[in-house]
Amino acid sequence: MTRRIPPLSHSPELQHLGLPTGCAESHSGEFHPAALPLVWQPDIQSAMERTCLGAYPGEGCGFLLGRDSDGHRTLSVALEVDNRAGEDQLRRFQMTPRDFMKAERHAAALGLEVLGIYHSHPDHRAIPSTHDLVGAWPHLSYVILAVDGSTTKPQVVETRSWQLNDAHLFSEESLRNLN
Amino acid sequence: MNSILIPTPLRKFTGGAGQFESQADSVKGLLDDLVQAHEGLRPHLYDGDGDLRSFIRVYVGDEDIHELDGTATALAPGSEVSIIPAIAGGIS
Repeated sequence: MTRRIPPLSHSPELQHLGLPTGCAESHSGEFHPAALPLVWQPDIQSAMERTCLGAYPGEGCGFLLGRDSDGHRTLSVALEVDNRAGEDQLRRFQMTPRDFMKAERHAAALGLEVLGIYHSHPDHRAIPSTHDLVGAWPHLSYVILAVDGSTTKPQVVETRSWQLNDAHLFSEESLRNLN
Repeated sequence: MNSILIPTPLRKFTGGAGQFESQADSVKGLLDDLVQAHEGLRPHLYDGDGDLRSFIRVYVGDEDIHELDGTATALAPGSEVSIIPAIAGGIS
């Protein structure tokens, strides 16, 4: 397998991903970051990477639990969920309503709330696709991990987070790891 | 009185409330009352044809209304209804 994740400016899948309609983009092509960074506790990144590398070449997914204080979000738990997309899981992920209910109950038991979703884009950039946009919910942070399988051992090469804005477009959130 | 639980992603449209109560005796009536009270929810619950969006599931207790009578499902007094988002996406 020789697929390689190209730099953003040369990425052939950008058009395919429908970026002009899927993301909040300025005329200069810069993404508008959300005002507040998304902060996560140690181990969140490694937990998400375990899910996504384990699922490769399929997409891995899960919920992110944490606390939101006036928009200041701190994630403390990454909750892996089986990808329910069946045969489509090489290019899709799906979590069922029951998965969501379980995650909400788990969060409530920990005094947390469901604040985000994470999933991987195998051999694609960590940029929301049009399919991500169609199924997106407000309020949730959408963390995407790009997994590059062109090397001997697949590796996560990019992690970015996005959130729907009032125009139902994705704005990028800056990330801060407490490590 | 029947109640409907609002999932966290939609609470910004209910002023932060996680629960809404109404005297409606059907799922449709309860959803109608909810959307009338919180108009901002409408585009997140319904598509352009006025049908529930495909990413929305509605449960009465632990039962999906698709396994009951859909939005026509009657509610006994004290029923607890939940709106649950299905989460999906992917590279294409």
